[in-house]
Amino acid sequence: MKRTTNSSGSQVTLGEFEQLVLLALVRLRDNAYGVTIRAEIERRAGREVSIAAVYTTLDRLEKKGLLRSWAGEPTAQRGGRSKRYFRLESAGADALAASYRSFKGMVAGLERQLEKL
Amino acid sequence: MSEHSQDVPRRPPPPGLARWLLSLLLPRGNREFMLGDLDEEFAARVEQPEGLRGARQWYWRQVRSALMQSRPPRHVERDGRIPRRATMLDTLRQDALYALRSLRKQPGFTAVVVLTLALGIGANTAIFSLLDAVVLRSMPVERPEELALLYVQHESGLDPSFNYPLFEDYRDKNQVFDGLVAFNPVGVHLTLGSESERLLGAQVSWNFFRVLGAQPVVGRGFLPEEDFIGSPAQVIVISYGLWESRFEGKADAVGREVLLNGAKFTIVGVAPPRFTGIRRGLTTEIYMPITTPLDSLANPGRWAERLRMRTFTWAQIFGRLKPGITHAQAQAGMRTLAEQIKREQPMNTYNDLVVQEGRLGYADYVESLTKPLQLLQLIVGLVLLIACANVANLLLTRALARRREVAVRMALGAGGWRLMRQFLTESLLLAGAGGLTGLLVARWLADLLRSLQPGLQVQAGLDGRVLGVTLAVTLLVGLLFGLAPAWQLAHTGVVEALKEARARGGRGRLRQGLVVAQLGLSLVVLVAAGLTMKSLRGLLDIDTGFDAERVMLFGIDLSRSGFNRERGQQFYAELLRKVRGTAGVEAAGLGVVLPLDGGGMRITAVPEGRVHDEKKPINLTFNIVTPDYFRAMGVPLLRGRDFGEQDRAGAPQTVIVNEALVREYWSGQDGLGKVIHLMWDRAQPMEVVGVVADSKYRLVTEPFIPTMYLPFAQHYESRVTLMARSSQPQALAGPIRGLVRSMDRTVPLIGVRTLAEQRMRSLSIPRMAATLLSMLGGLGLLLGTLGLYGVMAYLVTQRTREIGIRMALGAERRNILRLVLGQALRLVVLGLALGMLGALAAARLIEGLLYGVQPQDLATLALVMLLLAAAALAACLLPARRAVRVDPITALRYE
Repeated sequence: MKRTTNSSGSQVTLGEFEQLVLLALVRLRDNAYGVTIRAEIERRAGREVSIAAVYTTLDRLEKKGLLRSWAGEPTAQRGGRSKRYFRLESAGADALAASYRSFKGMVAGLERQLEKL
Repeated sequence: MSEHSQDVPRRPPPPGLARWLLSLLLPRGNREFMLGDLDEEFAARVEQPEGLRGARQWYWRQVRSALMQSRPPRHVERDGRIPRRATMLDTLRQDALYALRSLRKQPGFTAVVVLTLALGIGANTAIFSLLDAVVLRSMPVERPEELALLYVQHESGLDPSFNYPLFEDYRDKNQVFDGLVAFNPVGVHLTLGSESERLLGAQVSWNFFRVLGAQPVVGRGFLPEEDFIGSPAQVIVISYGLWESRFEGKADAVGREVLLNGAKFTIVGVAPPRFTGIRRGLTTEIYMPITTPLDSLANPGRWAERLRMRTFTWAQIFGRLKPGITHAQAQAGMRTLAEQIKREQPMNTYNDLVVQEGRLGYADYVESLTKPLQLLQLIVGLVLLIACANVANLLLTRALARRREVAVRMALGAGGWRLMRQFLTESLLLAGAGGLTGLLVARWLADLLRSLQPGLQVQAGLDGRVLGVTLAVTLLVGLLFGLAPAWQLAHTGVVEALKEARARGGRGRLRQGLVVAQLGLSLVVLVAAGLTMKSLRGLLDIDTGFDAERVMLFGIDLSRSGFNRERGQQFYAELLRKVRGTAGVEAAGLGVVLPLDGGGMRITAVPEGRVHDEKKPINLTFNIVTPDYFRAMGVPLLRGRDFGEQDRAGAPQTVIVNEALVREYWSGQDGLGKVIHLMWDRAQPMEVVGVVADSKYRLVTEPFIPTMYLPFAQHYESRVTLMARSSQPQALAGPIRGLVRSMDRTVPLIGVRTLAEQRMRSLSIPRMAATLLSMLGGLGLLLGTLGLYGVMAYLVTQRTREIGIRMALGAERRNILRLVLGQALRLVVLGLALGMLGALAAARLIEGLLYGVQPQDLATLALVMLLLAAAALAACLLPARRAVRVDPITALRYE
């Protein structure tokens, strides 16, 4: 876990699941909403996550200023309901980058050993 | 709703109950987004290999995980503050735990109460689920209250049938309907792969689904261009149930070809779940455009001709009213239109149109069930009241034993309100347990009811609506029986209660009142049970005129297999020859009308000696039969001869009549050689060659009706029933099935059963009523007796000291006995008297269900009184014996 600062200046720590969610946002760019985020995590991390867990995390991250969201147009396919899109904010990118750096630092030199585990 | 929307392929929605649960469980802020996400993903998953079933399972998993997530967080916030203060919920929890503890301490008491309530609530739930499905609930369509059914008022009643040109007139010229639909129920034969089955279908005009607002969930509804006379479209929409059972709920079912009555049809859509068509009590599995000929192989072009005929009356018409138009206004509007049409087109047009509410659909099939179900609902309601009274009594007894506990709690500062709430919680808990167990009882009972009514296909499941009612009943019941003891307990004075922990408790007026009510209600239920049972006995004893035990029936339908008349005749002749050669068959014949099936045929005819009168035509009931039909059915030939080889097509027309017909038209003569004219063109006069004994025709309960029998060889029909007589009729089922299959694989056998079974089926409603009511009567009797026993035992205990003193003063045992029994007798007599009044008041309700029994049947009333009195006596004996054995010294010292 790595600490960084958010817009209000206090330190922000990213949990593992938070990292997964933010990474999904990076991957999905303009098409990040509930369904795609969940599918991305399921496909890449190989685990089924509950929809409530995803939204709770997204809400928390938005409150911390790491991402922002907006509602899209309602569509018939969704029973007339609209999508809520998410996008990474710069503070979020910083936090993710910090997490990644610390992880990479810890892993450096251990790659072969870890592959075997 | 635009016509255009018909073209857009639609997908099945997620399960409704699951979605509803999710909408409750998901956090409010994101609920809409989340539900949208889940809808979208559900739709995507339907397309995957696991199909609809997999998607549904997945959706339900979402409910489960939402349930896990939604558990309230009980942690303490970081700053150490407990998030909420002790609330009403906490008190409730505390009360519930306390109640649970005290109930667990008395498992016997708890079990008796829960079981009593379970029986009462379960019976109510079961009957209500049926009543709701059959009588109350609107069809699952959009704004069902706007639907309207069109009828013609005839002298004999309302007739739903119209000719097709008239439908077109109404459809194009009316001002009151937003859409008018023609509809015709048909039996169809669906072949899928090597499997064939007979299903209920409906020919409908293209706007059927659009007008109902029941759009197909997969694929589309019909298009206007598929619905015109001569349309080549061979398309069908299938029911949701059929889609699930035969196509595994996969979207690729749309577009598949199936065989319908031997012709190719393409599936274009799947009707919504829960939508079973417009006929109440029946499930329509297959819909097709009304202009599509069903038997195109056998009769090409004939359907188009029929659609243009004004003499052919067959189509039912319903529609959706324009916004703001009432049913009465619609009726007025339609009558005006009908008069205009009649001026231009006098043939088979009607002035006396009736527009009826259509929210239930066509209810003809369930009509006969409505009254019995209402009556049953009333009776189970009474049984529930008895159960409540019983439980209230038990609780009162228990409350008495707990006076000390209450007193202590009050002395320690518990308020009256708080105590009352405690006790109400307890009774609600008991009611809840009773309600839950009751659901099991309900399921069992509902299955039983359905097995008694085999033809009925209602969705009488324990759905949200039924569960809601059960919950309401449970709460009400909990309050009902919980209030009395709670009130009594909470208002005990502290000092008084502490001082006299073993209370005197007056004479228990409330409890005596409850017992009187119980006995009275039991009497009402028992009388109803006794009457229906007696009525059923009478029905079973009715002589039908058949030898029902030894006849096996096989329905055969050649119309679905493309036989013409000639080939059909050959088929049936050969079949009869082979059946007669089968081991064990004593006689075999064919009949077109299956007796006791509720249906039949009538035709305008003129028996010799009468003159045809246009205004009062003679309509004679008839059947069409082969030689040996009478011998197979066990109907004696009284005079003349049976049909034979000589009664073939082209030969002089002959007829056999029954005794009732001879009595009616040629009284005092033997009838042979008389002539009957049929009033249809080209009909030759028919000579009576034989007279047979009377037998029942449509219903067991009807009197013997004058009936003609026409020879099958002269009057072919493609749908017949084969009657085979044997000392072991059941054993014929296998061989004859094999025989028919060996002659033609595509010919279906329908309704293979004995004539005795057929008879029992025709009595399904009286049987259902008698079975259920006698069960309920037994239950009521048991509960009433237990209640009386409880109260008497209590009274004897209360009066132990008094009895002791009396004995010490020289009272003899029989005086004591008289004292106790006298008191019981007062309760019993009062209860029976009130019950008798109730039973007489209820008599009118039950009248319609009875056959050959008066609702004030004295024998039944007397028997029931005797039964109840005997049960009451038994209930009093034990307490009375205890009273007599009271030892004065012990009794006095005890005090």
